[in-house]
Amino acid sequence: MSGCATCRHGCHGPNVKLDISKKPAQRRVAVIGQPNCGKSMLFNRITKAGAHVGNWPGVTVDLLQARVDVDGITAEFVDLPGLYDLEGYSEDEQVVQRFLERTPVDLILVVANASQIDRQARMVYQVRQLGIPAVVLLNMADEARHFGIQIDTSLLSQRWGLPTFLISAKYGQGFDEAFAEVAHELHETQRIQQPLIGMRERLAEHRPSDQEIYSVLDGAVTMPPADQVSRTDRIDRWVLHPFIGLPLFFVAMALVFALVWNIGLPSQALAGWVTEWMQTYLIEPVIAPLPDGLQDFVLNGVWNGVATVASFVPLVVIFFFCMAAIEDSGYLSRAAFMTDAFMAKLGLDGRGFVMQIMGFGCNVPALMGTRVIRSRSMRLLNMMIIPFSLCSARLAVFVFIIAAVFPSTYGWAVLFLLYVLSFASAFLAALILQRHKHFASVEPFVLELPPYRLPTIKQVLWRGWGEVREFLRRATNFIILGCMAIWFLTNYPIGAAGINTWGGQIGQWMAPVMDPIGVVDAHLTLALIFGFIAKEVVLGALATIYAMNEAGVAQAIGHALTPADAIGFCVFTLLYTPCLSTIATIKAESKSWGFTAFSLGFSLMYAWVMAYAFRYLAIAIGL
Amino acid sequence: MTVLATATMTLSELKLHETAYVDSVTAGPHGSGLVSRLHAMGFLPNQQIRLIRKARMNGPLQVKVGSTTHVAIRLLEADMVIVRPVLMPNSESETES
Repeated sequence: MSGCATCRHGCHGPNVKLDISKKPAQRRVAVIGQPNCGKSMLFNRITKAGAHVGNWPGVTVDLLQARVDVDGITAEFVDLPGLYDLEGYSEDEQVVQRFLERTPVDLILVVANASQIDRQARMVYQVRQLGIPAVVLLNMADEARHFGIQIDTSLLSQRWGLPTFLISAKYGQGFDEAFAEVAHELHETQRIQQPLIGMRERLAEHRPSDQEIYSVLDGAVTMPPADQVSRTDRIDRWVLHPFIGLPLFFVAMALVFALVWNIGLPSQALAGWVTEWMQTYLIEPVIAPLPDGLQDFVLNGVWNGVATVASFVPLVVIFFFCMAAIEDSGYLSRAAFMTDAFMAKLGLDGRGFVMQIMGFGCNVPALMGTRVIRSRSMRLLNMMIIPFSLCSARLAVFVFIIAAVFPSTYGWAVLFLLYVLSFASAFLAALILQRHKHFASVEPFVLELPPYRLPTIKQVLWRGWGEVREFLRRATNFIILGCMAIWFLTNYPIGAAGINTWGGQIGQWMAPVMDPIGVVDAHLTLALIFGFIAKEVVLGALATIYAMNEAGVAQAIGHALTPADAIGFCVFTLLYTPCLSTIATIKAESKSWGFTAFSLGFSLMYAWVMAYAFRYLAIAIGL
Repeated sequence: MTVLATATMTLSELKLHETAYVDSVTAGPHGSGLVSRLHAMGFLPNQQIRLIRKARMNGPLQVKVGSTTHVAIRLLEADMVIVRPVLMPNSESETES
């Protein structure tokens, strides 16, 4: 059972720490494996860097890397996208091929799901064929034990000719021993200077038969009987039930939003109290000696905007933790299974539904997640509708507007309706667009349904924190600049006020377009214009424009907007361009300016038409 | 002793809760890329599979491949997988883990 036969380094854990110096790494280690083998979690454990972990094929799309000091050698670990076949054709698989053909790698860690070794052994063979030193890590030992799987790692090490270990990256079992071997390999091997030129040709030279690959497992691996009923099978009977499966899914989502609303709002008041305290006891005393105009700039041009956005951080934190837990649980693949037949009618597949949900966090990773789709037309169609997914930045705007305009007892229901609208608008857009030949596609749908996994608290915190850090980085950069620009536009020319300022003039000029959708205040128009940068800026902008703190703005908005106007404003905010980062990602992923421009133009018109329709619908029903 | 049918059929023709053994995977409209993907997902010759459930509205099938892998596969792709259904299973009852 133990891999100690190959553990020449002694079984104590090597001395590992994250290296943040600038000197070049001495060794490079690539981590490869199939989707859902826990590769990212292993990467997290090695690098302590908080890489993204997802229980969904293809979630690690960017190449995460971290430099680690291993017993005095600086090694750069690169987490490659999950792939099924080193000779595969999907974009993700080509990313790995391109990486290996261009970058010299000194050591490969082949990660496989121990409980699925009966079908994941081909990659071990492929890596062995590359001729690069490699260590095989059979991950998820905890799950394998649960299934009753027996693995003789020393026999496998012998037969494969590669050191093989059974580990659990999630709980740490067997990790130190395996990593000691990794450290040993790094110290023993010479630096490799050349990348694997002609890797695909090398693999094609000899393709071992299934017989050759899987006979190695005979006697070394004992799988459970195929008719064994697992915990996952029992849960699936309810979760995938033909009639209650989907309703159960929507109830689960509604519960998440109710939770975010009911915990998030009080936490927001708390955060508001903290920023107010900081303003009174820190900011105001510090800027007191400055001239009045400058004081006004610091307080209303920068501080109010930043403080308003900051007050939404607790809410966003709670939201991301919930999303991380759902993503890591394996539930989203089930959602793909249940919705696939419906999505097929829209020219998409079940994965498209999941990408809309992933977009709830942030549209950018969801857009990058489309790389698992092989057909370009289907991928583009997905990229057209992902920006309609209600991301966390828009969540902050909506929570603010809803809390200001609607009674708090059913505020969460209005919020949930906005999520439903986000889905409905995305699907309607797909339904319209798929008629065009550019978006018509033939794409196979074969998707793994991983076992349900209970995410550990640590894992959820790791994941959630990574996302929150990203949100904060974006928020602070864009918001400070956006608020400063808005302050200038709404305070100049000197002596002007209201609609006579530059900002007011812009709003006035846009009024014929914006009035019909409920954006009746020139200042709101200005906020929406700056919302192009990022949706959090809308909030900061409102605080800056009204030159008040959060509570004050909420009151002012509550007076200025009727519920129907608020609906128009929210629908427009939901559907027009999410942010500059999204546009940049659409350009980078589609590699087409034409498509990017089309996506931008389409969403603007679509947002206007929908906002118009919903505002008048609201007026018609008497709101 | 497990008895297999002599005639093959496609995975999409398999009845609900029926068990079969994979015979081969044919190259459908998507070419060899999908064949190797299906192999990697466990649709290897002589692997035991079982049709667990069918999604509504002619949606995908949920197939248990071997003892630990579950795969969702559309009917069109299930047509590519040639199987031999089990006529007489060697054990009657399911075992709980």
